[in-house]
Amino acid sequence: MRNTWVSLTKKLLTVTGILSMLLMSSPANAQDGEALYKGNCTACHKIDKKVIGPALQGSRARWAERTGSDDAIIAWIKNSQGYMKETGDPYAKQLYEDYNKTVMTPMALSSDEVVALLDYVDNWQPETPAAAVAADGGAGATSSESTGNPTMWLIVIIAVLFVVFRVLWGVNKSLTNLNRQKDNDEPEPSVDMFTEFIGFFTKNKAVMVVVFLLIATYVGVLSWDMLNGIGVYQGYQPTQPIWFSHKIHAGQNGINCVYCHNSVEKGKAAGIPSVNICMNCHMGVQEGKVSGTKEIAKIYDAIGWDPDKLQYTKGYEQKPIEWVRIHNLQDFVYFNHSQHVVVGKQECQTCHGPIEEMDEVYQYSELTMGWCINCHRETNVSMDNNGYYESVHAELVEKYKGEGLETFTVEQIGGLECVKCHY
Amino acid sequence: MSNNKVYWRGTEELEKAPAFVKGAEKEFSEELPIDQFLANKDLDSTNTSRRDFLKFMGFGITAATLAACETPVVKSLPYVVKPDEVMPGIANYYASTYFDGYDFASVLVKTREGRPIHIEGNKLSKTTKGGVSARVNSSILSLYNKRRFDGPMKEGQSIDWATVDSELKQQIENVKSNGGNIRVLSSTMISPSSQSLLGDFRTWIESVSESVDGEVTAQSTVKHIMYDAVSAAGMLEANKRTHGVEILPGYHFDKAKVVVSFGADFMVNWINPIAFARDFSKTRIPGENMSKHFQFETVMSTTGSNADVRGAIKPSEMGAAIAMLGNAIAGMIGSGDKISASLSSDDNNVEGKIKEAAAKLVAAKGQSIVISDSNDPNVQAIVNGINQMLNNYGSTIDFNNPINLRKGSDAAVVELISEMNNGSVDMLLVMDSDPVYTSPASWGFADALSKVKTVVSFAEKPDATSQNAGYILPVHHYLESWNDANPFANEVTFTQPTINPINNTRQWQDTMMIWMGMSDSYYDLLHKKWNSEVSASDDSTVIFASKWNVAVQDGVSVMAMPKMAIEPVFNSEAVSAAASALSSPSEGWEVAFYVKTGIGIGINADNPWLQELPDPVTKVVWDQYATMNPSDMREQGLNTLMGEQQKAGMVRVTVNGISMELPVVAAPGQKKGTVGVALGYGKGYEGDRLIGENAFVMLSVVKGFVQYSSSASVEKIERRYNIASTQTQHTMMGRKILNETTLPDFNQNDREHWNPAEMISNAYGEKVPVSTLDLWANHDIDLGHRWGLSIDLNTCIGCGSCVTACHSENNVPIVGKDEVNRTRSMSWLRIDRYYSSEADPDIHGDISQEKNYDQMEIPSDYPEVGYMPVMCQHCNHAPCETVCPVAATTHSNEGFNQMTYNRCIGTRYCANNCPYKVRRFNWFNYVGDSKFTDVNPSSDNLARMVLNPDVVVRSRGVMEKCSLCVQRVQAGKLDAKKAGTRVPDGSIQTACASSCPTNAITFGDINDKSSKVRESAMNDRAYHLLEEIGVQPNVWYQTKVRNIENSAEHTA
Repeated sequence: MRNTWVSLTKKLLTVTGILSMLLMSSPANAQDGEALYKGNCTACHKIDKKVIGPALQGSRARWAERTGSDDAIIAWIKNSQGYMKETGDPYAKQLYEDYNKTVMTPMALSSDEVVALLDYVDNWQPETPAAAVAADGGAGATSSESTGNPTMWLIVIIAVLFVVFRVLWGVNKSLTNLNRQKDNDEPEPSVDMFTEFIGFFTKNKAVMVVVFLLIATYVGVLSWDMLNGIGVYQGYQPTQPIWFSHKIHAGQNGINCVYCHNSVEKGKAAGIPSVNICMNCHMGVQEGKVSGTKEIAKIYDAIGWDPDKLQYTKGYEQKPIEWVRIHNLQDFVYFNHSQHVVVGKQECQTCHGPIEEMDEVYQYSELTMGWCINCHRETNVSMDNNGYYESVHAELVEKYKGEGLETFTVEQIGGLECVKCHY
Repeated sequence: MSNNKVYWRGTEELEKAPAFVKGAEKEFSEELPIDQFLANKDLDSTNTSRRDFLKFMGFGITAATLAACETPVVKSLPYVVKPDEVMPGIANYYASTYFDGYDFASVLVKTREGRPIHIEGNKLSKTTKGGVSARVNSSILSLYNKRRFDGPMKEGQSIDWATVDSELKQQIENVKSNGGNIRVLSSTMISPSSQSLLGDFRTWIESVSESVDGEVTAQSTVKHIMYDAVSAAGMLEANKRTHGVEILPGYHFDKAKVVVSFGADFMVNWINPIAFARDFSKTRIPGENMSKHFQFETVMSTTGSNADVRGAIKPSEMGAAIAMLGNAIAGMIGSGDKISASLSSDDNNVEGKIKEAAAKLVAAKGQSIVISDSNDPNVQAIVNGINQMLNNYGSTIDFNNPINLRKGSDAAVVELISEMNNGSVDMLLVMDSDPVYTSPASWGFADALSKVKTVVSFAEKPDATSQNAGYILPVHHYLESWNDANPFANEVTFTQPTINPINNTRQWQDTMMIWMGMSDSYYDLLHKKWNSEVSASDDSTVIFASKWNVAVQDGVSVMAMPKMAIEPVFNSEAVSAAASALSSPSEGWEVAFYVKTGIGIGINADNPWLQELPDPVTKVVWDQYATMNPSDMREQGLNTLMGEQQKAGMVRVTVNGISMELPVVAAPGQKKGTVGVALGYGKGYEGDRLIGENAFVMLSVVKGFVQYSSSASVEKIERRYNIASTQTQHTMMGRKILNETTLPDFNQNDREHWNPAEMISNAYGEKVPVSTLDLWANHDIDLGHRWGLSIDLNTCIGCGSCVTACHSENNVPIVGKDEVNRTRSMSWLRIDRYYSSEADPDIHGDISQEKNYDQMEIPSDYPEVGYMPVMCQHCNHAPCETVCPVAATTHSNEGFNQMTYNRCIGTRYCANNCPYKVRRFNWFNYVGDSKFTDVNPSSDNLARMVLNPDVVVRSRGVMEKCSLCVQRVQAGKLDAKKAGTRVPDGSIQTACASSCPTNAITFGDINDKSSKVRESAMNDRAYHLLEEIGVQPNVWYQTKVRNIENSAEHTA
């Protein structure tokens, strides 16, 4: 019995193994072609447009026409310099000359993968702009509207309840009067609701005190919150001169924050990237998925790049981009990014929130002193493998011997002292 | 007595005129047109009642106010293309060179986001060895001077560069073809490239005229004349006579055991003071090898105030005094001829002091220096003779490594003036100097200038010469320029720009190259020259960088030493000749002209940091004044005390027919019968007020050499003048404030004798040291860092470099004379100056008696002087902290007494409770208040660029004080944390410590067992200021040790 099970399992395993091997070695299909295209080519090529390199659509046909098969173009794509050296193909040389002698990076792709890639390129159809917008913008728009405004609903409910109350009160009055009429009593003197209301409170002083206290407390809490909020711009989300999406760059494309904010590990300012950093990619990426060429054109306008001629305009008067500052600490406080990122090993998201999900950046944290201090109270200093903290750590262990502490918060190393931030 | 007077409003009322009686009943004498107004029919047609109007107005104001409550939108503008080396928030340092014709320093310029903001010394330089002076580190503010020229001018009208170039080119062509003469006048030029460029200019002009028609019809000439405002021509002449070389030798003060200076203010003014002060401070460590310093001078100079033994002499006695020293030395070593010499009056045992100096010099033969600031070649020749007798040449005085900082010739200027007067100068180019301002009136430079056809001034800002020049071709500030310099021996230093030119200016070198039709710029010229000539840096890791890049990065390099034409050989006959030509002392009042530590020769007299830097000795700011001995002042009935309510008396000083009316400041130590007047004034402004008058015009010329003293008449005038001083009290009231002792006492006795710990009675009546008793719980000061300062009172020379460095680093406001007078100076660091002398029971009574404190204010005529820099002492038990109602000043476990500006509400309790009086209150908004616009650089839009962005600019109503440069400490700690190492000792320096030319201030971590500051704070000389009050400061002072037998030796 047991043996049967074992052999069955073995057989099953073998079959699965063979199947999976077959699957893995099977020629790449068009789906893979898209992934391959996006992963390897987009930095320099577009399908229908010349960028750093030529437009890809139609290239296969041109090569096939000349050489009679796909072999040449496959070799060319895999290692263009090698192909040129081996064959001395004049067409390839001309191509190399035409594109400013820009060397195409050799691609570690199998021939099948190249074929899949070319298949994808050949079958590619340009999306209609309307469809693209609907596909990308539609979902976002509906999801943001569906949340609604809770305060508004509250007011509506209160209004409805008030109307119901008023109607019921009137009905009650009328019924009482009818009853009295029936009993031939004098009808109750006609008083409006407000007067009756006042009358009720004058009779029930205790209720009045409670209600008054409730209102006073509510108003007090409200004004306290309001006053606390002066100068706090949590949630501040201004419109920027360029619709730049961190969601696309940091989230979808997974570009490391430090690539653009490159002084974050060196100095106090994280640094707003200069346009020449944008151009590292946008020399090639001329069109965005969401806003097309409109927003990218703004950086070309700032630096003076001619996307048609693919070169910088000589003597162009460059214009800096006037970003609206979101995180704006007061002048009397000193904050250093490198201290927190390099020494404190904090993630950007700790203070800036889910930045990789923000299309437009907003201020995620309060950025108040209380907020700073709370974090300093709770966060442990990463003292391991840092020669600076060696002796300090030993001294702190000695000091907190009674409590048996081994790790220490920023507060315990003096991180709440005034001159750590104010000078 | 009852009052029976009659009061009346006028004769009408007295006489009861009917018209008056009728009118007196009414409130208004004339009928008011109310009825007419109300009868106006249009009134009914308006709808706006008075109440409505008020409602609208109220609503309007409220609405406008509310509408204004909007969060301002802040824009951030990144670079379009960011330069690689600029990283926002990170400072860059560039090595450069400061030379203005008077002061030289190799410097490091700190820039932030492309703006130069601070200057420190370059430690790689052999010339200045990492030191700076107040004048050098303040030069950063002159960059942002709004008085600088913006673009070239012709006859007072703006003109563009192209036009001015073509006009002047045409004029030069005319001069060339007509065989005219071009003269170039500058202060000492130490730039090899500039000099070779001038050589090219000369060849260009002189050669072309020859080639016209192949025959020489008229020969054009070009001459370059160097002229120094404070001349060393006499010294150069003396060296030529005694050694055959017209150069200034190098001086090695670090090798000198005895220094005798006759008037030479070598710590702050004489030739290369930064290096001299730094070298000399190395010999001032108390012990067996401590050097001894004698100074014989007229005005109490900064150097003289630091001398172990100081003799006051009249200026005319200098030759005689030097001759007496020579005689005494000759007598001791049994050689040389005696020179007949005697002093006219000796009221402070100068003769005895000279004899003592002679004995010490002979004992330290070959390890001594004798110098004089005289511009009389005869006097200097005798000084050379003395140094020769003492075998100092080759050891402490070195002709093989000459100093090039003074090359000016008085005779050459005189010759130039006569050329100008006879109309033979067609064009005069003036750069780096202001001869109309700095030349004696008797030369008549301005008159001669008017006879020159074309005068071109390469000035940076308006000066007396540019006012008289037809063309003004403004030049860059040195922080915008390229240049090289050969200040000393074979060292070459570089000047590199640290900012794009702020104004429409151009270096004169570039201008001249454009005239000559050269396509290169001056930078190309420098690059080509030095890339091949400088020897590469010793650092072999630099493989890829060119020699030029390394040289510019270091700021200094080594060049091939120019071969000396003649070997210096001593010629004793020149000394004897000089001895016979020595002029004898004169009688009557004499005036000594001196150069102030802050203002210098007036080049940066419009720099408010320097104007508000208190003079080291008198502590006066923002004014020129005459100094006199207090005894003389009392004789003349002049007021010797100064204060807000006590105006200074004034005198009229007349020299060579030129008079100046000056307020008089009491200067104990000044030779009686003399008046001291500072040069360099009459150039700077406080708002619209021109500060002082030009004293250069009063200089007299003897045998072709400008003399910085002369006979004068001095008379009191009946006017008074308000003078602002930062210190009006001069005594320590018998307390151990500036602790000092003598060298024998220090060497022979233990610390209990000369630096006893302060004792206090404990609960049992036992005397115990103050530090053992404590009312407070201790801060946890042993954990982590504990930052502290140690200040050596022995090497502090009081020069004030730290004060201006602090202003620059910490954005300390400048408040102007009026506010200083109200004791509202904002300086975080002050240098207290104390006079002292042996108490004379006849004058001072028993000083232990409190009732005699008044007498203690009576100064001696010739006292000793001590300096004590005082900043916040960062007390561990700070009295200020306990009285702050809002906890705006608190203690840090790292030893800081923290001041949190944004918390401060300005009660000023802390300042009242501070025993050291180091807290400063912002009485005004110095940034925005128009009262300070002219004196406070940080208030004008351009000069705001000098502010340090890491330090808050404090607002009105806030207390501030020394923070121990906490921003630098935090930055240094962060660097260490990022590198994962301990903070290396010395890697963090406060601004005051790094700017100190004598390294008197040491900063560091007291808890670091190997730190210099700990070693210094734990040594026997260390003590706390006002130790008896038990506040446990983190600032230590090192007892001052004077190299004298007893204090009578100095003062007697």
